[in-house]
Amino acid sequence: MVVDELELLSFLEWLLPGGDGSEMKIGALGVFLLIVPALSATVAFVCYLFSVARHGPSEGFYTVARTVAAGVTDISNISPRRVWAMARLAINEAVRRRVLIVVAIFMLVLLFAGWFLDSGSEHPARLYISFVLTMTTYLALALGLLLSTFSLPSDIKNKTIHTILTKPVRQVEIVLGRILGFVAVGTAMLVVMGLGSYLFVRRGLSHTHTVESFERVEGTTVGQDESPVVWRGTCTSADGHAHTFTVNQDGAGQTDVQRGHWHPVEKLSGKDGNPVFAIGPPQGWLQARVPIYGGLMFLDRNGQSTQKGINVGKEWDYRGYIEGGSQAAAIWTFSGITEQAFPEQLSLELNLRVFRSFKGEIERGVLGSIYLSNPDSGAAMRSVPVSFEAKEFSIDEIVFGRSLDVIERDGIPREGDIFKDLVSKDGELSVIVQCSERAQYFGMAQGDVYVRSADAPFFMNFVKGYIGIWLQMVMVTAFGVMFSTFLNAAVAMLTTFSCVILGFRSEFVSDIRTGDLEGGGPIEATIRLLTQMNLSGEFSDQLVTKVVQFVDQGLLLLMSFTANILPNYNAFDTTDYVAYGFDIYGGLLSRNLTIGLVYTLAAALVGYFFLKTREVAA
Amino acid sequence: MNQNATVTRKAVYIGTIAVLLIPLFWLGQPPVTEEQGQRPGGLLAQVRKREELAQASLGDIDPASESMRLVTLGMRGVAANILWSKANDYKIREDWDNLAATLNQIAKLQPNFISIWEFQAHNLSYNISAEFDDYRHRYRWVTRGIRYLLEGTEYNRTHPRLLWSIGWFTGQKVGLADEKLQYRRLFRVDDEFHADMRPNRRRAGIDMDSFEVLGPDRLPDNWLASRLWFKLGQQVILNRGLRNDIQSITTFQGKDNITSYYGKSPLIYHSNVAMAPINYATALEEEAYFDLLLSAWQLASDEWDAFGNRQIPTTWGVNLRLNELEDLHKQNQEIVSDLEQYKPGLREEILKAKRSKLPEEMQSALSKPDKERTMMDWGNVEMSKKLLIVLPQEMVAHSGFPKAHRVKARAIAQQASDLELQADRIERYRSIVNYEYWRTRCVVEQLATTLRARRLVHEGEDLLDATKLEDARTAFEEAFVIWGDIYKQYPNLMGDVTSEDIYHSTLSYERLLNQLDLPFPTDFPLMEMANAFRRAEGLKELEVADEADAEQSAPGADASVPVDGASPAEGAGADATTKGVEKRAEDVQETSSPPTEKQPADGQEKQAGERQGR
Repeated sequence: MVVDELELLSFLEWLLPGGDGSEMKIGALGVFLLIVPALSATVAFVCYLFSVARHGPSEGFYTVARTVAAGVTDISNISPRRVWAMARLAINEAVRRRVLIVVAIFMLVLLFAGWFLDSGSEHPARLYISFVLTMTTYLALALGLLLSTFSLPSDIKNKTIHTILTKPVRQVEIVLGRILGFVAVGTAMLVVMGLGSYLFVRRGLSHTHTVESFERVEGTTVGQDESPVVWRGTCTSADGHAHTFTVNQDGAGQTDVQRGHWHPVEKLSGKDGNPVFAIGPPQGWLQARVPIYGGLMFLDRNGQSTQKGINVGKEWDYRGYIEGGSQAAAIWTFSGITEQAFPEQLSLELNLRVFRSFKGEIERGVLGSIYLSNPDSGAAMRSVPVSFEAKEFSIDEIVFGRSLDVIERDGIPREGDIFKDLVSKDGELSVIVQCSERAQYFGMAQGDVYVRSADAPFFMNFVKGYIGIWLQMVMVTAFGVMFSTFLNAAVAMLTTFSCVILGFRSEFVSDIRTGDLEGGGPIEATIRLLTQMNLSGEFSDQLVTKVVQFVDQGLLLLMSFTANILPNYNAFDTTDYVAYGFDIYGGLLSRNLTIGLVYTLAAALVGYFFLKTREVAA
Repeated sequence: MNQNATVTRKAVYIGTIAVLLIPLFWLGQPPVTEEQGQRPGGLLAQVRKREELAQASLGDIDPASESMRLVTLGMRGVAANILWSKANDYKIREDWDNLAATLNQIAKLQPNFISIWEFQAHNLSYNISAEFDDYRHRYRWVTRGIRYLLEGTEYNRTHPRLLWSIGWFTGQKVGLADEKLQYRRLFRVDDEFHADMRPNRRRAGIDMDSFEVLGPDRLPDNWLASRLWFKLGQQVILNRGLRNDIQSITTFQGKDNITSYYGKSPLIYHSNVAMAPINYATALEEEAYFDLLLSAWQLASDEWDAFGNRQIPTTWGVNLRLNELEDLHKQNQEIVSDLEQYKPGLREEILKAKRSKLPEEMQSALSKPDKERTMMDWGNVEMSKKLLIVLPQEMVAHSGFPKAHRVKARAIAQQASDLELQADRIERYRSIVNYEYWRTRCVVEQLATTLRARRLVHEGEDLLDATKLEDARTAFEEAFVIWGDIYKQYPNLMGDVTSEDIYHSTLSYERLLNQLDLPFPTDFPLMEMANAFRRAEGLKELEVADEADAEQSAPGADASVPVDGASPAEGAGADATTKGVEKRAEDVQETSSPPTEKQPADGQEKQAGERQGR
């Protein structure tokens, strides 16, 4: 359900070379080890050029060398105590500057948020969660931006920096102290906002129904001569929806699923002729499923393996499609399927898309089949296919019992066992999905079929979502402090802000540069805006046009280079996971933590060198 | 000195502020609508009231929308642009919840921008609904689009385009989609949606409990609801016209002002009102609610007649009524014959002269009998017809016209030409909405024979499905005889969509005859119509059986089948069949599953739907 266009990799697969199975990939660590020396050398060279301009070739070299050497000394002699002292200073300053107002704004927005949220939504939980997480992200980024960029420049401007610099404090400790202090303030506020959001979501979603009508129905026979009385009824409408419910003989029951949730129902008292039912709070929409994802490959209509399915003409090629009534299939291979983890049964969840090439049966879904297979046997050993009706935009659960009918090469079904017959020795299992109807199609992506293990607590997942926001705030703060070491407050803020925008919209910039998006670079776009010319209108073939486009190309190159160096904030945004009820898996969280930390340290380092070389602080 | 200067400066500031407050007050004064004294308020309030923007009075302000516009600090255009691009992105990535939420935000930023409501409602009802596979989901998104429009009326309570769109979506999207049977069925029982369509303090609405909305099973029908929405729009347009044009209050002329339609064609706008009941009646036919057909077609007929009598503003700057055409022709004829009185025979003389001046190929084409004319000849005949028109002005200008009467006659000729022009305009307008066809259709569908024929065709299809082949054949044949007579009497009904249903039944009949191993009758009453359709579809034209067979098997051959719908004479078909064929028919009946009982409403719909699909 949740869309992640990146490959779903574990932390080590992402970090180490060849971890994802392909030999070309060098892993994140490899990329890091390649880039850091190259970037450091480039920066050092540029610094040297500047230095040459000021001091001449040999003196320039010594200046750079001295700075680097002093840097190494400074960094190796960092004192945590002094850093903490600087951090406390930053915290005091932040509190003095009334940043708590941000929390007040947040609470104010939460108060009125109900007005903006679509009460008729099919999935209110998703809407509420994505709303609070998105809003917190914006506020946290704004907070980081305002806190970090104003502090150092105003200290420098008011000369208060001298009172610090005359103390035995290293510049690196000033920079680190600021970052740490502001992050501490931001973190405290994020905690408050997080708790507020959690309560808001819980409260916003809570509603109660009462019983509207009920009747007694003769239930299905459970025992041999037992005919339990089952109650069936309807609930009153609340928040734009109503449920029906059933209660079995022992007095427990539940409502049907509406808008992604259900309620427990309990028969309280009263005789059978006049029972009283209590309908409990909503369940099932604050979830954190823990899926085990598998690798996906396709078979085309002739049964040949292929990496991608058919494109049925959608703009978005996230999902590949398989043709019905042919040999086309989608095959997921899951690993880590152990008897200990799934002693009783294997629960698979499907979230397929359907594409019809003709109307077909309107009143029912397109039929498909699913079966398990042993990857070692090359599909010769498989379970008897289970037929299902495709349901779109909802999660369909298919449960395979531990013992099930399997088919071997001879084609004769016999009773088998998932772990003995279908799971390979190294714990791998293949799941094959096919579409049964001719000329109809099923669409799927890697994350669309998964093995579901036990749920994680929703609150923890919510916290993980907040860690994503926290990381973004930390990076913005670090970049803000970095820029404020050599720019004045307003410029530092604008620069940091631009970096955030570029980080969020790096894809947009590269699309503009490659011409995939129309409208041209910054200058061309401005001309179009001022002259009210539309995006695709052609300019006359004049010299001016060529000059503008040439300059634009240069600017775009610069922008796209910068955007590629800056952190991609979208990658840290795990809102969808929380909103759609999927656990943020460890691999993703640790990947984000690593990237965030590296960027923060890099920003601190650069900030330190700038502050070091600045005359005011020298 | 310095202090004086400061005081002076402050005084100037205060004075300037006070002066600036005057126009501000004049512009922004809120209206007072209390009993004691009504004041129209400042200019802004008046404009708001005139344009019927919902924020005209304080009580109606929508806090969500207002606060959203406030927090964007005048950058709402930019904000709307960003949201629009986000919405597009959500659509591509099939994130429907976020898409719907974003659309709400866009609309709340610019609640009086009608195109947004229209465009995005269309997006929801037409584009997004199609992305879903389950028809119930699709229906939900269709209604979501309509709900979006309904919400639009909260801010633009009486905007004719919004009201029109609600009517259009409720009618066309629910009633003409591939899933129309399912959609209509869902619409009937969708109480929550009905509740949203009712008027309330904030938004426009229609009376969903009115008998005018209730269709089969006394449940709301989408076509009837759509008719009321269109009617509401009509009402609004008339009121606007009245208000925009003060003159019209006294003269009652031109109150139906074309500017009140906001870019919609008045002709189409009003025809929608009249088409809704026609579509309702057609849907009832398909769903086999025969008991309701007569009243449905009566309503359709009344509405179509009202449409014909309605004054319709045109882009030529004159208003016209579609029903006026016959009168205009009559008046014109009278004027022309008046002119001819001045010099009898002059018209023929001019005509003769014109004819003699025609090019040779036209003359020869005119002189040929119809059967001998080639395609080229027909072209020439058409061309010559235009050249041979004698205009009243030509008669007056002719040297043979008595000079003494020329001045008076010229005025009469001008009058005739004006009438001709107006008639021409009406004819053009009529052809756009296929006026005559629908007028005839409304009349014909109310006839007892037509109703019976429809019922028989439906029965025939049902019996065929139940493999009661002989009974099916009897029903079909009786129906086709009636249809044959109807088409003889009203030939302009033949080549249209309605006869497509009948044509499909002829295909069923053909299949039935094949199963019975019988030849297709030579004097099949609908031969001409069926072959026309077959030609268009590239099918082989109907095979003609031997004379002897034809005499026996033709349904039309037995004159005892009365048009008024009495039961057909026994034996007309049965006698014709050989014993072997009869046996075969019985075999089919025995081996096939027993025919089902009379289906409930849903079942009938389903069958109707299946037929539709064939």
